[in-house]
Amino acid sequence: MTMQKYKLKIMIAFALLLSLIFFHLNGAEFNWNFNFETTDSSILFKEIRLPRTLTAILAGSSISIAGLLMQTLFKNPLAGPSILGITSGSSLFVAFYTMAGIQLFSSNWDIISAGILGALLFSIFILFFSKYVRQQTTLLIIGMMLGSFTNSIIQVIENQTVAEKLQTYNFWGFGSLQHVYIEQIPLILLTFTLAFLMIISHIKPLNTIVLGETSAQHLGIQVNKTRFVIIISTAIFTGVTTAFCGPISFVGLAVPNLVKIWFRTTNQTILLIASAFIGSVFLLFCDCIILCLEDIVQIPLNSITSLIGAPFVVWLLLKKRIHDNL
Amino acid sequence: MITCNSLKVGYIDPILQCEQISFTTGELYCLIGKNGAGKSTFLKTLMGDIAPLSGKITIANRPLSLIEPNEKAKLIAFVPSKFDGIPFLTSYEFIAKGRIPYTNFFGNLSLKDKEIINEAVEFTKVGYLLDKETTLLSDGERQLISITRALAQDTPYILLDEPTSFLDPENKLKLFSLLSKISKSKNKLCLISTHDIEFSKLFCTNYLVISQKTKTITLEKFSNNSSNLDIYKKGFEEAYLFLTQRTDNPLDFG
Repeated sequence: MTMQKYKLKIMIAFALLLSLIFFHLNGAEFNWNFNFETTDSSILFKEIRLPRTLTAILAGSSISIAGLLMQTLFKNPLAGPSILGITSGSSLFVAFYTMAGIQLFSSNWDIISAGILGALLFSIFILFFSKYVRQQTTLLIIGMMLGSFTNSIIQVIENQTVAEKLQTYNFWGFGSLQHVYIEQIPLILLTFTLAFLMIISHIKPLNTIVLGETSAQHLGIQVNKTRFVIIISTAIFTGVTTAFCGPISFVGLAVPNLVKIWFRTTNQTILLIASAFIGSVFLLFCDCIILCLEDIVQIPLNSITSLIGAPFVVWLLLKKRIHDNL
Repeated sequence: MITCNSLKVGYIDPILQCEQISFTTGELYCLIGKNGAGKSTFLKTLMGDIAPLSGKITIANRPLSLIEPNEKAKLIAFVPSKFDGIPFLTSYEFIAKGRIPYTNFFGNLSLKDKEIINEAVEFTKVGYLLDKETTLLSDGERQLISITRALAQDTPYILLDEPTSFLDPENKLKLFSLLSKISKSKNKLCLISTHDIEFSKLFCTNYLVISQKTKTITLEKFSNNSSNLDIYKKGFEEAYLFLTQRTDNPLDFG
């Protein structure tokens, strides 16, 4: 009965996703302009539109799933990769990589490993702090501190670096979906699949840890192992996305909460799938806005996600105070 | 049967010890002692959350430290003093988590699991709460579904850490009576740490008393008509003195 209700909602989300994929592939225009007869438009499609759409889907899913995992692990609806400073970790390492010497995108593996390494390191910081803080709010503040601490280091590096490299880094920092080549997509897909399989194979511990770590332990779950798996996969999701698309804020925080309010469940399988769909929808939607306004104004991806995400989070906080149900 | 042998419990320094105590199924035990005397630490040690500093605990003739986590979850269930509820988690889903140690790799409930859940729900009469979200329940209702979850976990032993602390007198009575019923009719061992001595006396005769002076746990029998003072004498010596010699003030209240 209830399962049926979730299925319907998942299907609605999927339909929404499909229509946005088509709209986005079409360059966010209502006029049908798929045309493979000329080589030009075929190249336009294959080299520019397709990778951009695929990147939006992969990045949106990754960041949203990472947010969901953080919220489940820390039992805190306001957790997310950017607010906990995990994205900052990626940024810092990418900054090291870009500005302190090596050229951006010279090798796919280098940038990915820089992104993942930074995310992993900062996830471990947060995990360490989470053992010692009593109030979850404190953890969020520590995450923000990590963020501003890293920003300062990045600024120091920026001051030392040449203009050209600084520009590369700054463009990356705005966040964008159009700097991924079609050849890089399989790599992102591979890491995404890897992290996703890791999580799916721990779906039972994940569904139990919803009750809190102590209760999960009393139900026979190996909590340390579960925590480790969650942190590793969050780092992969966040690190890869951040490396390729820049630090995308608010998606990881807003999307899982939106999904939870819509689905009203704690079933992690449903939340994972729905977060992936809605995350993709959200990022495609944001990118469609960018495409639509392209001729008038150039909006960085990060600005759009924040413009929509920040008011949503404020609304969420107010709702939490009124209903105390989040 | 749970047996403790020359046990010392604590984190770094021992805060509590006992010579030899055995608990048997089918009985209700109340653990009493001052705040900070080590009731929770003792329960955590029995759950295997923290290792004893010395001594041995055996559960069903097996040393506790050698039992696999999943196996342990089929032997002992734990009910914390307060469950705050989890957003969007319904009572049924919460109770169903008790079946986790028995479910397959993906955690799907089998028909047998569902039967056991229904049986537990019927026993505690919480059927009317099943579709409600756990955050919307009262403290009393949440404690009831916590106990139902422990029943669904289908373990011979249930440990409860001050389950009555946040309840009104009526719910306290209800809970003790339910636990006494569980231990008798389901042949389980229920070990409850509590400060509600007057309520517990109505249902329980086995007391584990933590003495203030010696920091030792001893098993005492109190008949149903023994007075509070008899129990205070063992576990709350200062309160006993205060209540029996009201003229001077042995408690240094200042």
